[in-house]
Amino acid sequence: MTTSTKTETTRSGGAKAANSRTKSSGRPIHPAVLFAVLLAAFLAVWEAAVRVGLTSSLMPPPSLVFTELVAALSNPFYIASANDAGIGIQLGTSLLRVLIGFGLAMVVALPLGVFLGTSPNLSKAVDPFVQVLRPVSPLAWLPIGLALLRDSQQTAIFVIFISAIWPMLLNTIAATNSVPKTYLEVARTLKASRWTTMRRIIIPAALPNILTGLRVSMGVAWLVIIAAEMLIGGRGIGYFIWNQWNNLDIANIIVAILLVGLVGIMLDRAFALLERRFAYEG
Amino acid sequence: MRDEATGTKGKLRFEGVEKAFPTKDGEYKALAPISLDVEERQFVALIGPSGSGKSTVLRLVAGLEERTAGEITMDGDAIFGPGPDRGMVFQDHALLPWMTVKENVLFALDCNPDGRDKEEREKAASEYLDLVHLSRFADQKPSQLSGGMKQRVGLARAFALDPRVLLMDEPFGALDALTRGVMQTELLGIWEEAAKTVLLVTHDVDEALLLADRIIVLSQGPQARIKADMNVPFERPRDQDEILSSKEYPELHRELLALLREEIAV
Repeated sequence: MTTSTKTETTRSGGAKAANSRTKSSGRPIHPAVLFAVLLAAFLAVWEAAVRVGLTSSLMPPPSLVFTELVAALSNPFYIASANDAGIGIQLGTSLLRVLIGFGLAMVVALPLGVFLGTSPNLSKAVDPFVQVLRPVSPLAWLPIGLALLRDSQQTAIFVIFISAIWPMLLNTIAATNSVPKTYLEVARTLKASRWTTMRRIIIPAALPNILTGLRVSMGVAWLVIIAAEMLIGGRGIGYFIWNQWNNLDIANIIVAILLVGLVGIMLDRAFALLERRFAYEG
Repeated sequence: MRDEATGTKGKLRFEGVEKAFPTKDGEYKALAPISLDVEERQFVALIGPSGSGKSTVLRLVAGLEERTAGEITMDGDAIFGPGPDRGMVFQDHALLPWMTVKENVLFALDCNPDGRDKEEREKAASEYLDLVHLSRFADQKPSQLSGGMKQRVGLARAFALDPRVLLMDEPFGALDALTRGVMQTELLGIWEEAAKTVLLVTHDVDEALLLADRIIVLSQGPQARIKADMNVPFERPRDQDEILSSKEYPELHRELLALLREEIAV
């Protein structure tokens, strides 16, 4: 008897809870459905605004952007002349510059960061340099790159190098500096060599934070490459966008923006996967 | 095994050992000059209020801290810095979370191969995991283990180098009472088999009485000193129930608590 009463109470309580949820927020809408609705609404307003002449005459309707997108993606890898190449070639060129600059920054920042992170005094001595240089827009380095390297291609890579180096350097210093003391004491009591301590304790302990630094650096590098290429010219998605502006071809600029965003997401996801792979539960 | 040839196994001697820490307000003298002899294969519990410097004593033997004055010797040789001849079991188990359970034990052996090749080290690591009944969990990460299991891996890691002295810093302090009891019994079994010198830091009177041959009571710091040095009369192998029901137990328990209570300034 008592048991059945209890069940009753629980059931009606559950029903009440479900009821109040329905009342307060209605039936939950799946985010994907919501996204589709918002996108459709946005495109419809945009299309209508262009059609009735609310926007500047340069502004293309989304339908035109879509046509250009299909055209760009149907032949992304053609090369006609120095500046006239498929969108895939343009993106690939930018990506290659970013990867080279980023790779060079890693080669410098990771060993330097680990070294500074394990020598607190030296890291304090270096800190003023980092603090002064870090907030400077990487583009300010562009003339210096040109003066030093006398080559626009290498200068673009140099600018990426400069923009990518700070987050990864600072994160690597902080990560190696904050390895829990107990782990180092374990290494000491086991008489682990310096090299073993570095390879099997400090680096794995610091790796998640180092990867976070790399992820931030990659984000910055991908932002900066567009601006750098606009200034430097030649092939690349940044100059492509600038070139389309000179042609007053806004539709292709929007296509480029979309694709730059998608590549950015993929780069970020790749680092997120790495972070997850090397995360540990302390 | 290596040490059996020399015939000695972890005889510790403290002679006028002092430890001071630099602080903002000048030096903090944690330990008054302390002198103490620990016989080989003796199980010694260091007990005292928090701030009595019992962990400091342990860390001095481990070589993680340097003494300010005096001398600590093991089997006649002065201790300078850490070494695999002293195994440490940390309070918070201190397992390396990115390594599996087996890798944690293997890491100790990799750091001190002692002429063993990779295969022999793997085999030894498995044996020590077997000793603490964790073979089934060899390939799991420490985060997947319970608190008691983690500390058993800590024990296996410390035992894996067959040290002359085992140093344990409140190894079961973070465990619930039930798990702690199981771990104490297990440690008792392993220790009675291996018969190593043990320094165990604890604030648990029952734990000290159950496990140790001898209990050193430290006074409240600064300048903590040895307040009492008590022999525990229970025979080995020990049985928890027998000890708890013996007629000496309540008397010893009371005596220890009284000594500790004097040191706790409320």
